[in-house]
Amino acid sequence: MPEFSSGIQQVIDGQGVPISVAGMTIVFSVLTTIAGFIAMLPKVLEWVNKVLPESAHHGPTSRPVPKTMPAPVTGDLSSIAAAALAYHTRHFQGTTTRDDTRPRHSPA
Amino acid sequence: MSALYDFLGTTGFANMNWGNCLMILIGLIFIFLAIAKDYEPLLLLPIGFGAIVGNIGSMDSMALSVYDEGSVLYYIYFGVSQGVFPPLIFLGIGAMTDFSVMLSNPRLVLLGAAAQMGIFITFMGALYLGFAQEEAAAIGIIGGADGPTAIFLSSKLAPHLLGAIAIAAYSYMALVPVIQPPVMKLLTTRKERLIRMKPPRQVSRREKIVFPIAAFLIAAIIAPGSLALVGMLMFGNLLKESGVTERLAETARTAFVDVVTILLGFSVGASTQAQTFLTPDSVGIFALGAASFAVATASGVLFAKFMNLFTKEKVNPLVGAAGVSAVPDSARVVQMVGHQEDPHNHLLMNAMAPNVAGVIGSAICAGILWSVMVK
Repeated sequence: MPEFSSGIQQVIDGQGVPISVAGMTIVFSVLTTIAGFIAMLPKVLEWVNKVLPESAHHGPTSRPVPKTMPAPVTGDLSSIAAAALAYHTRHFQGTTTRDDTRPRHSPA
Repeated sequence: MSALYDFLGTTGFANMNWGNCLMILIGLIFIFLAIAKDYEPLLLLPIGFGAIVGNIGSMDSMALSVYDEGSVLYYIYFGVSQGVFPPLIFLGIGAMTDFSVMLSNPRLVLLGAAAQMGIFITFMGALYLGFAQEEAAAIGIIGGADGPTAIFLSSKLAPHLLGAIAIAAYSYMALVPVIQPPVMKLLTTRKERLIRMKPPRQVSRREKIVFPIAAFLIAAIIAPGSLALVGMLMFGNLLKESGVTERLAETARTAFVDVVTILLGFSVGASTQAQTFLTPDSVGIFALGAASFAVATASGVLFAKFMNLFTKEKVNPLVGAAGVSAVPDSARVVQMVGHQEDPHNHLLMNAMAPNVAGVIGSAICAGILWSVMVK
């Protein structure tokens, strides 16, 4: 830097303005094209999904759950309790009576 | 006794000058900033220690430094001097990056383009200060706020300035929380800073898979110079999003990128020998670097305001500042500044869109400048 002359002439000689204008134009062109593609993508994929449904492909969602991991709890607690009660009622009828399985504070 | 004197002549004391001591001090400051202030510790700590290692004086006949062919450090530095490490880092970044927010709001991509103005303004600034065209292009890329991209382009166009450019780029990236807020506040009104943006929509897995392939094709066909950087970035992202190469993606975003970061940071630091680093050029590079970050931030903010003139759904102009590709620091700064005005306004997710677009934008700029300079 010390020996160089500095100033506007250097910018002109180094084609500073044309390179910068061309550079910004290209960057905007590329990113605008990418943005346009992204905006279009959901519509294209909507059509593709009709032909090739997404579930047909394998992916992370279709991978088996590790055996050490407990099954996910999806229902609410009351429905789980109801299912457990039904299971208990069916499989342990010999050891308990219907009345025993009924909640003690139940009005019925 | 003469053997002892001969040995003393080989020690660091006999071969160091004030410049080396100054660089060791700078290395210590970097380590302090990394540990005590948590400023980009993953980079400043290796660079800081590398600077200390690189400035221990030794005899010319001993091949020790990164510039001495045959030394161990020379071979580590090979990855920097030949531009090998930056694309590898981009692979890791791709495997870490979630483009969902950008995919859900594509117009924010344009903010990532606008912030690249910092690169070209700095390029002209460097020409004005008397740097040669190739040097000016390498210095300009500091405005992209992307360390690996700056190193990649410097290694191609101005290897002799690589140390100063890399240090300037990483130093200012660490100072993003200091440089950006004043510019953002200066260029926006309180009303603008309070604008709330819609949360991003859910993006399908297919969109995430198609995007890296399509974005690479668009970028590489229009600007082939960006092939190495954008290619590795998108490849890393495809590994992540495909869902079938989780092991590779996991490695790319953890151990792999960590190893490359260590080697890159350390060898860049070791390249900052006082004899090559403490020059008037470096002073000019640091001055231009600070200006480039401010210009890039201002360009993003002003472009967001410009977009608001034409769109019904307003963009918070603060989000434009995240167009500089310091991921995720500039997005965090946007969140912080927005939060100061309205504690219930969460801009982080929206700011990530221009932030990741900025990474693509700066890689494309590097490709453009490289293509133009080697024509």
